Amino acid sequence: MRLLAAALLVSLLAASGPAAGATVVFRQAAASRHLLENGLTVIVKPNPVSDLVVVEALVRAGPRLEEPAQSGVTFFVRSMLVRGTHRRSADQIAQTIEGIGGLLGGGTGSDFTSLYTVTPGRHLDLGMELVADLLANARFDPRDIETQRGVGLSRIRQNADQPLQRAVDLLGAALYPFHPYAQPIIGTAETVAALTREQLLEFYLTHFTASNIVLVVAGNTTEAQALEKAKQAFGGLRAGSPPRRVRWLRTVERALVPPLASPQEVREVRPIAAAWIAMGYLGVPMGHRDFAALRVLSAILGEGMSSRLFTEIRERRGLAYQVGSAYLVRAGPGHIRLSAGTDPSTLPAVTAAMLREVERLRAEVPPADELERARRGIIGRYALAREELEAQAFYLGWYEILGVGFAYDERFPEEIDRVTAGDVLRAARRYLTVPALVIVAP
Amino acid sequence: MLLVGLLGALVSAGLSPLPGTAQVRAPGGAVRSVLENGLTVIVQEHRAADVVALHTWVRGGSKDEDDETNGAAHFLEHMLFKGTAKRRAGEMDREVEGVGGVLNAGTSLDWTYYHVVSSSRHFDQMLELQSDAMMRSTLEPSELERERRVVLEEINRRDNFPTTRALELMRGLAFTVHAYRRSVLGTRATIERMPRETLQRFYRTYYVPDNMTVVVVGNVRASQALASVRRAYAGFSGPSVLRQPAPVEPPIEGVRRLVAEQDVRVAYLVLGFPGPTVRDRDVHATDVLAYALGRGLGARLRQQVVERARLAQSIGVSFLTTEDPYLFVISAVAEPAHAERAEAAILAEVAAVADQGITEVELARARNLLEGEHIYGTHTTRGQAYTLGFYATIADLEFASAYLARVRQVTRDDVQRVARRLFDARRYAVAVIRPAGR
Repeated sequence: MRLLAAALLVSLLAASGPAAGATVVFRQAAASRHLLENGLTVIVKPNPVSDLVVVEALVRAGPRLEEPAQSGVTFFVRSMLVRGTHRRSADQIAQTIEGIGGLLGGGTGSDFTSLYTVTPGRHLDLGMELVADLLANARFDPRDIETQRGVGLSRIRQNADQPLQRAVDLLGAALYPFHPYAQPIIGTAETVAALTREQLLEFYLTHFTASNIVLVVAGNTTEAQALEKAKQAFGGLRAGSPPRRVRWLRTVERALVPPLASPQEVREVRPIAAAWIAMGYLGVPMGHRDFAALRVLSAILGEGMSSRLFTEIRERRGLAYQVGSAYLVRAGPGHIRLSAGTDPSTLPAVTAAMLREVERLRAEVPPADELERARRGIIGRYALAREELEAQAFYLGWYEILGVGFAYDERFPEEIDRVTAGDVLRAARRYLTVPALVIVAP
Repeated sequence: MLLVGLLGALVSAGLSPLPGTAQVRAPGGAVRSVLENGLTVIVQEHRAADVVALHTWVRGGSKDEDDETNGAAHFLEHMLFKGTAKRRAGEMDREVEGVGGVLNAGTSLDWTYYHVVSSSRHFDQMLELQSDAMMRSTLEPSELERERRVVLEEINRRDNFPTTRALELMRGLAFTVHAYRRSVLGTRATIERMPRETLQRFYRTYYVPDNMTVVVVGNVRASQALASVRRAYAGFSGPSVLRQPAPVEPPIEGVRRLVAEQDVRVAYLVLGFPGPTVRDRDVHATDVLAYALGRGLGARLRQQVVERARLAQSIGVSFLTTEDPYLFVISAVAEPAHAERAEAAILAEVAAVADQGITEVELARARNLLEGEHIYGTHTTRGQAYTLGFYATIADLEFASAYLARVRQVTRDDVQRVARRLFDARRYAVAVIRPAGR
């Protein structure tokens, strides 16, 4: 076994995102969007580079659309889908897809939950039919609910066992005191323990509906073929208007994320070897005109081995192994997150160095070569991520869910290319103002 | 069952053999050449995107260390891009990222690899840069001191992850004389006192042409890519590695157990059973067994121990293919109060496979899923380069090319034979990390 992600393989870069690299993607057939009668959005991206086809459904859900008292309900519901439908037992679901060597996967983010199959092109029917069955007919057997509750509660404690994950969760709570983004994706021990079958079922029936789902078909298929099969498989999916929360959230959520009035600092003491820092500044929702500038700003600050945080804190001073930044893309207000792990004795030095780099971004425009490197880096990683078929499908659907539309995926490199040094400086001065700082340390 | 259409469709076009170069063309379309200086070059044209993945694999890892030098392979990997005779520290990162490329590297038991991905028009520049690091790194003393602190932080980070720490503890139990008992990162003590000479010696010894494989996968012409590699590595030389035979690990007698208390909220179990090497006839059947037991929704351990018995919340199986006998590893997360019963349930399940084998349906599921994941894992340039480099380094290109065909030949009898060979409830190693004071 090659173990691509094995614990035994020690990488030079910790927690690097998808590997990345090129500036030009070969032109493939363009993606197209269609609306079925029941309200389901279908996006088709023919791409015959291999004999594989991805069927991916993204559901508009996740913490953003959860009542705080039901935190984690999306993750819980999503985990129940593979545990049986009215047509198939859990064993039969596994056998249907894995018996032909297909893959079944998915995930849950702040604004969505997803489900996908990867199969050879000739099994497109099977992938479609299975995804449709899971989205429409999940059984929610009481015994399976209890099994999943145990798995979910264990996951919550496993997350707490990882200091950086713990710091990131605390940072979310500090940045979003009034918005559901404060809640972890997998929920809290209290909410997951309390969710009832009725609540799970209600969330499923309300949110897993045609108008709330984007279906993407990418790979070895044609537009006509994929569309016809999607109509067959998904035509019977529940219609119904989008849930109330979906409709009103966009208009009010800016009010739910007021700028921080003063710097926040949270410390948690743990008997651990390293000290962990997570620092955040509120940003903008996807689609905002400052979005691209914030992406470039984060790249200059802490993405890659030639970024400022990496060169200053790791390369020049040797104070950390893992150090960097990321811009967290959200349908609602996102944020920029800086993080580092260091020796407890150098914690003040690393925190000060991070704040100093933030100050530098606010003080002066970035030099031209650095700006160019940051833009090339983002576009390179973008292109390389899209080498993978499932990622191609995911991004098309994700941008649709985020409200900017699937075609944004193709516009993205141009938007990044247009960001000027002045844009970065303005974004730094406007957004890098009041930090939330979390430290988990001995 | 998935077909190999992907691999078959990418057969490379005309390649003019160069004088003095032995070439082998594998069925998947990869072409292997051995240059005059002994460097192995594998090129596969892959035109799905305008991307080239360039890997260099070195057959040297933590296996080639001793108690004093433990961590040298990984420390050296960190130092390799910290300046050469031509480039100062930091220049390489800027150069790669300036063209939108990505640089990374990894160290394991048997090998170290370096990876650059970029658009194809920057291929020659990336190759020149990577070869510069392979041949002319200066391991500059002040850079080395800074990087030492970075590696020590990485060790701290390793120990903060309960799953990683449990695996390390288990390996320390399973091996008593073989180098696989040591951590790839080394220990705090070895890294703190490791002299520059140790890294220089490792570099001189293992970074020699006939101990390395350069893999190019992407939007290139195979003949041109080969000529570029030849040019970049012109003048590279060094003596062949003289390998001492690795000490033979005596069989595990009895159950070796270690329970460690830590600041955790659930219990982390890792069990290890001695497994076959890459040259063993059972290696493919062991991969199928790993899938039957632990991979996918339909895996036996998930179905029985997680879903039916509810004694664990997750179970994973891994079997890393290695040059020397390593381990078939089963990891589980359980409620602290259920940890013993979870371990017993896992042992009962693997014993059942040894006694009764698996069903035809389970075999088909495991083989097909393994094949499906293999094909999906090689549909990108970086995935294909990793697979070719990995198998070419620990075995040869033929192993990589024949892999799926051999997996398809695995029978129920093979799987049961391997299970009998591996699983003995009286001989294994297990490490458990659990909350303190319970």
